[in-house]
Amino acid sequence: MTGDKTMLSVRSVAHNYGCGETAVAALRGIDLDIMAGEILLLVGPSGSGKTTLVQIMGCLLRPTQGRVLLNGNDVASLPEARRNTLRLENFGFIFQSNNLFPNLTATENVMVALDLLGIKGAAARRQARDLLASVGLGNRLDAFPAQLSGGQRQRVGIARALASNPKILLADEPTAALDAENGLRAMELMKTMAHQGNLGVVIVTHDSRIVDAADRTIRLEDGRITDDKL
Amino acid sequence: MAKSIPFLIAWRNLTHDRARFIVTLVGIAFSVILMGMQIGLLLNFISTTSTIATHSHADIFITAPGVTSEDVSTPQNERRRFQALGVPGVERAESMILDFSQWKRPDGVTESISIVGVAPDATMELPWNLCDHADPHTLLGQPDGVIIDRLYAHLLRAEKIGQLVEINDVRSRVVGMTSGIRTFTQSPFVFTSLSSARRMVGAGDRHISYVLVKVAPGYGIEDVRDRLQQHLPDTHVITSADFAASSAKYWLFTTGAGVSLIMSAVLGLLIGGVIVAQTLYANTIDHLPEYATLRAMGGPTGYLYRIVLMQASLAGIIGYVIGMIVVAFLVWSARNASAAPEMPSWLVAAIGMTTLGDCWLAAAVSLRVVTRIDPVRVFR
Repeated sequence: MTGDKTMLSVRSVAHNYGCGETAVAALRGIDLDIMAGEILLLVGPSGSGKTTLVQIMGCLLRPTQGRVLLNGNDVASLPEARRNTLRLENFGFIFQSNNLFPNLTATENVMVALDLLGIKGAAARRQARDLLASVGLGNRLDAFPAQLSGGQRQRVGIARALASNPKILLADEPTAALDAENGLRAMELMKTMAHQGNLGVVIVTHDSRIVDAADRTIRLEDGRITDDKL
Repeated sequence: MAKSIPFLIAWRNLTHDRARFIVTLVGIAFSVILMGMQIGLLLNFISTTSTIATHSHADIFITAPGVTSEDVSTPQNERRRFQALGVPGVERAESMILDFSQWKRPDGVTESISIVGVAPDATMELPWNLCDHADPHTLLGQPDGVIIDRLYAHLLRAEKIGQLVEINDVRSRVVGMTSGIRTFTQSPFVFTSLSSARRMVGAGDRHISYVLVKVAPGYGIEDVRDRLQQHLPDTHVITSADFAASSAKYWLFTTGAGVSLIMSAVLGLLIGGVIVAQTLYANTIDHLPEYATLRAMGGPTGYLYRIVLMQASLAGIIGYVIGMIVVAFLVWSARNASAAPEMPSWLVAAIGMTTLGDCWLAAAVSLRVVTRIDPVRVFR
């Protein structure tokens, strides 16, 4: 189901936390391409560098070395404000603890992403409701996060990540807090969205239950890619 | 009504913890009440310390040397008035006595009063605010007639027109009443004719306190003042505006009462600021993961600032409205008191702007926190 278009490339990326003698190498020369419509799983033991790699890909962290190419342009060295705009226009994020706004309803949570893009008022509300309906939450539009189950909250998070019509979806342990059934449903949802919207999807996970849903799985160990299989 | 998303986040984050929200509002309202009442009293203080100079309609006052406050006069000879009349640019010059005396109540209690003596044909608008549209010239023309203010009628036990009273052993009669002429010294003003005033304060026939000068059309007040000062070197010639300011300054800064009122108002401002700062800071810390999420999603720093400043503004506006309702009630309740806080519209607006500015300033600490948020923390 993957397209032949490269959405994001990582070239010789290395990253150290700290400096001098106390520096810890989190990534050591990573090369990777994310293709449109591809679901890519990043697996590996804790401390292997998975989250650091996703943060670097998502313009949240600058690599110590190497380049990050978005549509062929190196974004690693751009000023912070520009990287911020790139994040807004190109990336959708799904977090382990979904990071919803607890005092906003499901619709309003999705509207936050639209508001950042300048889509406001009735148009934003309509779009948010459509997105929530598309993830199966058409009947929970006005519920607050505390009134939703873990699976429903994660689906709101997915709808919010998709609201900005991103080119790349970056998910950090999106199924870790979900039971098997909800985990698989969330995974299926992301897969459908990726294939329908031709998105590149990168999922950091320890969850072996979802490995079969991926188009490609990359294993990281000690900051290096040790396995890359389709 | 469609509300913006930053507004929704600001409002819901602010009101989510009801107890903290109420404490915030109480703090801001308390600050507004403290500022409103203290500044209102300060304005009352300023206007009552200079009420004669402000309401006399004179352009210039001629006083004895060294007089800095209208309430603390030094006697001078009435020939100063005739000398003043000879100076070019002086249209009118009128004598006035302002001195303390003793009012004996029917129950035998003696009250201190401030006698204001003016000629019955005086044109400098003394007294003013006469009740029942009475003519001051007719009233002051009545032998031993005195005019008191309604605010002090009960204190002086003289609540009826025509009542006989005793002032410094001089038998007098209440012939009229004014409304709202307050005194700073708590010795009520008692208006009477110049001749009666002299007897009531035990002064000689040529005794006066001030010469009130009206400048002729076409002449500058400052020019005429300088000419008068040159012509009367053993006096102090001062414009009415300067005399009013000097009187207010004298009481404000020599007694310490004014400084105390100003300090209380500043204290109110500080209390409000600290409470808002504390609340916003705690609120921002509580919601750091949400701010970090916004940053990770690509939200610019300005978007986060808007949320924090909206919270500060909302708290400020609601606290201000509550505070001003209480202030309005207190001002209304004190309208007949001898020290009634003044609340002109400019002060209402100024307190509003100050409160809002105070809240924005208080938000600075939270803005600093928001600026430093690392979006990477959303992955922790």
